[in-house]
Amino acid sequence: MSVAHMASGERRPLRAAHFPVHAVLIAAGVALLVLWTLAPVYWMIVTSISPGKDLLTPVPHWIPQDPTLVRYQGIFSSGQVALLSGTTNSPGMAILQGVLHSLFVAVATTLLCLFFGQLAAYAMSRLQFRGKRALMLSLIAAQMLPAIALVIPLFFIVRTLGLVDTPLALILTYSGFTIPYVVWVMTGYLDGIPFELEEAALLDGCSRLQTMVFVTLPLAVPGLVAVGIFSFLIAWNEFLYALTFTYTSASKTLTVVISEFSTQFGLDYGMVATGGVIASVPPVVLALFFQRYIVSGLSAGAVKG
Amino acid sequence: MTDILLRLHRPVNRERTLAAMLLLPTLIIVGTMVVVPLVYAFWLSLHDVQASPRAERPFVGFANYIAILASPAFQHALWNTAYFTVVSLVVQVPVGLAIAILLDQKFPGRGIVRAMILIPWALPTIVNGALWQWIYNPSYGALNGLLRQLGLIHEPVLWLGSPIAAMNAVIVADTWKILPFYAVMFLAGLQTIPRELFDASTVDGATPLDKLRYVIIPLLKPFFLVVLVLRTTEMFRAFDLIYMLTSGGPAGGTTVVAYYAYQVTFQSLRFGYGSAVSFIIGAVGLAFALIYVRVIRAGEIR
Amino acid sequence: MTHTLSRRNVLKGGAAMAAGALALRPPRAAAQESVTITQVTSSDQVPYWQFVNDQFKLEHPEVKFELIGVGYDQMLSRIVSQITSGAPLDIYALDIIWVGQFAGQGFTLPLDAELNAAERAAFLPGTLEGLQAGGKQVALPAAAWFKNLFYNTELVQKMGLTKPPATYEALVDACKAAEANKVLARPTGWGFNQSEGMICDWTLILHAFGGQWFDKSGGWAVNNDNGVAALTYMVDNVKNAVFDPASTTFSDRDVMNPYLAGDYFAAAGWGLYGWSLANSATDSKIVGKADVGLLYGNAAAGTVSATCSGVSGIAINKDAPNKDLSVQWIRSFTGIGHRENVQKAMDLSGMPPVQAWAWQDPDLVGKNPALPKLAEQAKYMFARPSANVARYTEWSSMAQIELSKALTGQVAPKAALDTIVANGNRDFPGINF
Repeated sequence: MSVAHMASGERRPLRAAHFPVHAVLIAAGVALLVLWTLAPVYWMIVTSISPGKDLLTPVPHWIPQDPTLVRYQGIFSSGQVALLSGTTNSPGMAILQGVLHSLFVAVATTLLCLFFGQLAAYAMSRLQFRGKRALMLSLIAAQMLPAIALVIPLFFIVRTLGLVDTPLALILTYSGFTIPYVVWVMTGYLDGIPFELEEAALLDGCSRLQTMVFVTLPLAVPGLVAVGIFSFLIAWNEFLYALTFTYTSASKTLTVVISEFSTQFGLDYGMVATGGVIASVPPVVLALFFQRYIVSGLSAGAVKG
Repeated sequence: MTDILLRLHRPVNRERTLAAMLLLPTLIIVGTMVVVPLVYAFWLSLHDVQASPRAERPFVGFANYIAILASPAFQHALWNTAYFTVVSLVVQVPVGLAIAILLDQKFPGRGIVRAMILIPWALPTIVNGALWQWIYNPSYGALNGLLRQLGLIHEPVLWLGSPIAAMNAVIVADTWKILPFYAVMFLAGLQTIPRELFDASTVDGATPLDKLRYVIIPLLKPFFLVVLVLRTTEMFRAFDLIYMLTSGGPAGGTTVVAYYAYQVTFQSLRFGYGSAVSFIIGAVGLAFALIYVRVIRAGEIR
Repeated sequence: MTHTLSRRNVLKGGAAMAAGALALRPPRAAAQESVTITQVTSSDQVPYWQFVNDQFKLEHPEVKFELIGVGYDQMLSRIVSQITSGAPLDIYALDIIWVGQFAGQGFTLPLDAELNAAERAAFLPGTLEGLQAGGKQVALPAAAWFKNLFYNTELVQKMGLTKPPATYEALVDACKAAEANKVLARPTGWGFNQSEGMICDWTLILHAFGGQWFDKSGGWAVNNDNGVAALTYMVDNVKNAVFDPASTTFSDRDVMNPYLAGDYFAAAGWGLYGWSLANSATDSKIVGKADVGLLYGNAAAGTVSATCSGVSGIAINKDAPNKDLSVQWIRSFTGIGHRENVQKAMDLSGMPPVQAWAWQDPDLVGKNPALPKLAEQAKYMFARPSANVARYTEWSSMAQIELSKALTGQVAPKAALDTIVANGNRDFPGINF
């Protein structure tokens, strides 16, 4: 310990000499960013594992004195659990099913949006046809209406298609609202990628589709990852349509399940926090899994050309 | 030159067919899930629609629209929304860009940090609203608790106690959640800037501020446009957060237009009126979008 | 070549999507003689209705139930979406605040004929009446919610009292004394944030002060002398920190926290829920010190007490696909009630009994000793004007904003009430007198 300390103490002047000022700034900025991001998350976790009464102190116990996993146990086991109001309906497996439904809906929405959105963006960016600008503007303009306005009309459509209480209702709805943005962002992104590589491929005798898949697509990956995260989280977070279109354990999403922690008498912060912790796990795991693709700069070399 | 070559290579009408096919799935989905309900909602907005399916639905023309524009409650909500939107954007765009630039630098653990900052964005808005309501709790909330521990306050601060304080509290909660969105979008945009431009500007002796002004900001223009349009419409559509955090209070100080639309639609069950409110919100949002296009002059979004 | 190929691919993709759509649909039961009753209720009541439905199925094996539980705050939009779009809905939970609105919209089947005199007499006074509008029984009571005064026996003693103050005047004196003597920094508070809960607390204070919603001619009357006295009392004591200034940010649930923490000597809370909360080992620091008393009266107005009703009912959709079965179902559990069902309602879903006898029944009281004390308060029950206003929730939103303005010091109490009355007479005329 002391040896290591001395060793690092000896090295310090050397390092400081080599470190440019902005490395210190970066470190400070990252520290600040991490603190700002994680402090409320930490508090949410503490809330989820503290007994209700331990939360009622003027200066919070930042480290829970008497941590309990009872809320998580309630979530991962079926049957009744004792909640705030004495005995309340246990969400039972509902929250796990909610996670699965939300994941399914969000992944499917993302794939659908990326696939069709990329096709459309390619057309918008690389092909010549009239009315392009008008088409883009109307796609975007159609998104301006608040969700509330379309709930009842969409519910009619979902019922007509026979999709009430199915994940597909949500997948299609979310796609309708997300694809235009995917098209817009990806069109801009493709416009930023020089055409020379594709041109070369075309001149070499590749077909349009081949060029699109093998040349353009790899270059578009950082943009696709960004709009992919966007699409996933739009679907993951959405509440109002999910509430209206899904209502049994066959399709209820996580946000709908969490909303049931609010009763006539108010919010059960402990349970909502527990739901929040669970809700943030899958996206973060996915993000960690894909983190090297989050704007990996994969294309940076190619774009240079 | 390129153009001529390409035109030689593929006839225009064939290109048009391919474009139509590539666009078709998008148009079908958007048509069914957005345009059709939108037309229906517009029909509703021109009628006096009661919730009961048996009730008469008389045509009233633009009466709903006129009534809304004259309504003090709507005007108040519009003003609240304007404040919410402007202050949020003024804070979030620069900070979001700063975070993106920060995350574009090389530092150990960069991948982890990039993934980690997504957590607030991944938290469902209804959870975010509840979480911040709990943080702002005057007696037992974490914020007052921290300030108390640091000896900065002795009496509890009522973060949601006045209209203006509550609106600012809403903005903080919204900012915490949505900064990752800016970061991800701008970070993607930064990848489209060729490294040579940076290197060249460094050789030319440009300061970091010069790089920001002459390289980053001009080249990110399309991304600014996307982010501004998206966020503005999102704020004009903001509902979940207000619904959970303040229910529009106190004294109506955080009632934004989308929450107002929710109230008239689902509490008052005035579907025609509620649809008309939504179309007015949509029109204002669209006006903002067109202004951005003008200002940023990224005419090439095509 | 490429052309046709891609078109074929598009078609294939379409077929795959359609197949996916079919696969994702829940399997429909094969055509047989079973009927499905669709029921919407709040999630916390689901376990009890499951129990009731299982009982019903013993006698009607052909019946299946689609029991949809949603969060309380989401019930209205769920029910309305279902009704407006013509989706199947037979039975649903109807909160007291929707009575006039749902009756006005014609959403409910009147249930007057389903009760005989004996059954009517068995209900806890106020519960049946709370769910009537336009002279019709819009819904039948399922959970008899109303507010009680919960107090902390130890803190009351420390304040030099033997029981909580009986009047609002005495309450102010007791709070001032406790603050002056440094017994408690904030002796009590209310749920005065902009929400429906604020209207509940206003209802019970307004009526204790002798105020009323309407005058004899049916005009709004909350701005008469008694009404102004009530709101002035609320505003002044929050402003002067006699009551917790944080009251303006508390919902009626938030205000229980300081009580549970032992920081308030008393708070108004919802019956059985408040009681189980106060005695919860995990959520309360005052287990063993909690007791129930009468909410305050007003010496000047000569009132003993006043509480606010929050009765929740069960209604049948006017367009129910299974109307007859739904009526049979509702008959099977209402009326004089069975002890087992009443106990189950309390155990499974924390629902307070709607039958008057249940609150004194030796067996039930043996298990729930607070019942008789809680029931005392039911004699002083007042309802929000939800049966007398066709668009109550809209009126309530308007009134909440004006009250909130007064409580945050933006307008004077009288001015706020004048606005509520003016708006009320213009947009929300009283009905059903």
